[in-house]
Amino acid sequence: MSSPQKQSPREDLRLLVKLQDLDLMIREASVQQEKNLGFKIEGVSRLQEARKELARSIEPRLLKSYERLQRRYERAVVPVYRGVCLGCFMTVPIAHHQAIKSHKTVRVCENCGRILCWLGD
Amino acid sequence: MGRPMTNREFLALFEKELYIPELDAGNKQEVLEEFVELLHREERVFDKDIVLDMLLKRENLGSTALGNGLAIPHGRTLTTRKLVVAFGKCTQGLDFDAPDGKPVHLFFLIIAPYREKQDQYLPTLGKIAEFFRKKRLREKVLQVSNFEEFVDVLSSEAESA
Repeated sequence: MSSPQKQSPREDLRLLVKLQDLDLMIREASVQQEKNLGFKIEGVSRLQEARKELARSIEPRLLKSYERLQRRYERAVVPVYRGVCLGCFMTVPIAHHQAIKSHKTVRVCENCGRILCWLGD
Repeated sequence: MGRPMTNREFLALFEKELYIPELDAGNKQEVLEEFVELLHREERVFDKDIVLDMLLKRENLGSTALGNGLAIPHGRTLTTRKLVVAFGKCTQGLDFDAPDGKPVHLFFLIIAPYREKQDQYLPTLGKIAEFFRKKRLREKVLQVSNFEEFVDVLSSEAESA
C-alpha cells in the first residue's frame, strides 16, 4: 500500500471533514430512519469502501489523531465560530485565529483537543 | 428524530434566493453541482467540493429519488451552519435512478449541520416526502413560474391539509 502524498494543511483538513461527513452518513444509515421515510438505503458497503479509500489518502498521523478523537467525542473536527471552539465552547486564543483562518497548520483546541476548522464569521 | 414540523415552519424553510425556476443540468451529477454552486454563491455552505462529495456519496448509498417525479438529495455536513432547503424544477425531467424508473421533475435539496437547535433535518425530509405524495400538488408545482407562485401553491396546500 502506498502512503498518501504530502498535502497542504488546508487539504488535510478538507479530507478530514469529508471523512467525518462520511462517518456520520454511515452511522445514520445503520439507524435506518431515512428508510422509514421511503428512501432506499442499500449501499452501506459501498460507503465503507469509500471510507477506506478516503482514509488511505489522509496523512497517517492525522488520521490516527482523528480516530482517537472520534472514539472520545461525537465529532473530532469542529468549527471555530466567533473565536469559540464549537466542540467545548471555550474561547480560542486570539493569537491562534489567524493560523486557523489561513489553514497554515492543522490546529487543535487547547482545551478539548478537537481539530479546529474555520468556516468564516 | 425531532418533533413534527408545523406547516408554518415548513413554509418558512423556503427562500427566494434558493429557488431555481428551471435547472440547466442534464444529469444527476450536474443537478447536484448546480444546487451546490447556488448554495455556495449564497454563502449557505463554505466548501463546494466537500458538500458535492457528500451528496454524491449519499447517492451511492441509494438514490434520493422517491418516485413520482420527486427527488430530495440531502445530507449533513460540517460546512454549513444551519439547515437549508433549495428547490429546483426540471420541466423535461431527468433520470435520477428513481425506484419507479420515471424521470424526476421536482428537486428539493436539504443540507444540514450535524446538529441544529430545532433538530428539523429528518422532520423536513419527512414533511417534503409527505406533502409531495399528492399528485395534484406535484402537478401544480410543475406549473409555477416563480418563487411567489411556488409559495402560494404550498401555502394553499398547507391551509387545506
